[in-house]
Amino acid sequence: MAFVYQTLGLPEFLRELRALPAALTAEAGTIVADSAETVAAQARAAYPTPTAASRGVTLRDGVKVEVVDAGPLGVASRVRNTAPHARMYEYGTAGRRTSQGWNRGAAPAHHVLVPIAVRERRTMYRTLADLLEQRGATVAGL
Amino acid sequence: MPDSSAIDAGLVALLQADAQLASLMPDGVYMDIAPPGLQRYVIVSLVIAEDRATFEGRAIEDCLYLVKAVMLTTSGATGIKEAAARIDALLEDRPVVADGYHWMGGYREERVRYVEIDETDSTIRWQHRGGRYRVQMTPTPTSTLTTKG
Repeated sequence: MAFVYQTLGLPEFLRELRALPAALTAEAGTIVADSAETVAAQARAAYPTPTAASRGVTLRDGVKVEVVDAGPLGVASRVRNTAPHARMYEYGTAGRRTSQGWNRGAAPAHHVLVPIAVRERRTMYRTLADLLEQRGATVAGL
Repeated sequence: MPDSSAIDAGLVALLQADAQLASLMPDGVYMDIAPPGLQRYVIVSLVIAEDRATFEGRAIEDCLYLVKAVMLTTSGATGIKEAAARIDALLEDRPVVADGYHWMGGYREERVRYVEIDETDSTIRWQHRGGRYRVQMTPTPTSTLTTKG
């Protein structure tokens, strides 16, 4: 008995396979950008409200979302706080003095931006995994 | 369930017990904030703690800590680099002992390094160096399976 092996629709399948990364990149880009905006919005809400005495770039004003070049098949966004005192607010200070020279001691780390980013990143990973699973992939380890 | 603060205490105790770190940062190891007047010390603070639950209760406590050496540099003293390296050696893949918990894992997620300059006197500079360390602990099981017979 003759055995015939014939592939049907392979060119179409290969074409779709080649287009898959580009399509996924576009969809994933939306998810990543949305997550970055969510982090930025939550961080702005979590920072203290500026007062009449606030000068320069406030912690809320300093929150920026940047789109990072991650190549043709990658997507990335970065949330930064550009306020000059943002890092000290996040990580704490050792010692500060007033303009009159009075020692005001150290400020503890406030941990605002990092915990928000950690939580939102976990949600984003799950959403990206859902996207891949919709396309037939199996995602493990989340 | 065990007291989650035991994890904080275990981490601080691990750092306090190290003679090499103590020689580099002789003013001690503190949670969140150090007493005034110190010049060379280590600060530990909890960034975020997330619990992973199972039907029988909390299974994993996943904690992210900021651990950094802090040093006043007007005196010309050095050691911040060595202190950060020692913190890393003590926490990277090294067990934390805490009452009621088993250690699961520990690793650095990100390096932290910055200089704090006094606004009034720019000769006063504080070096901060360390990292964000993830510590994963699981509560020690308190129930045991028994068989009838």
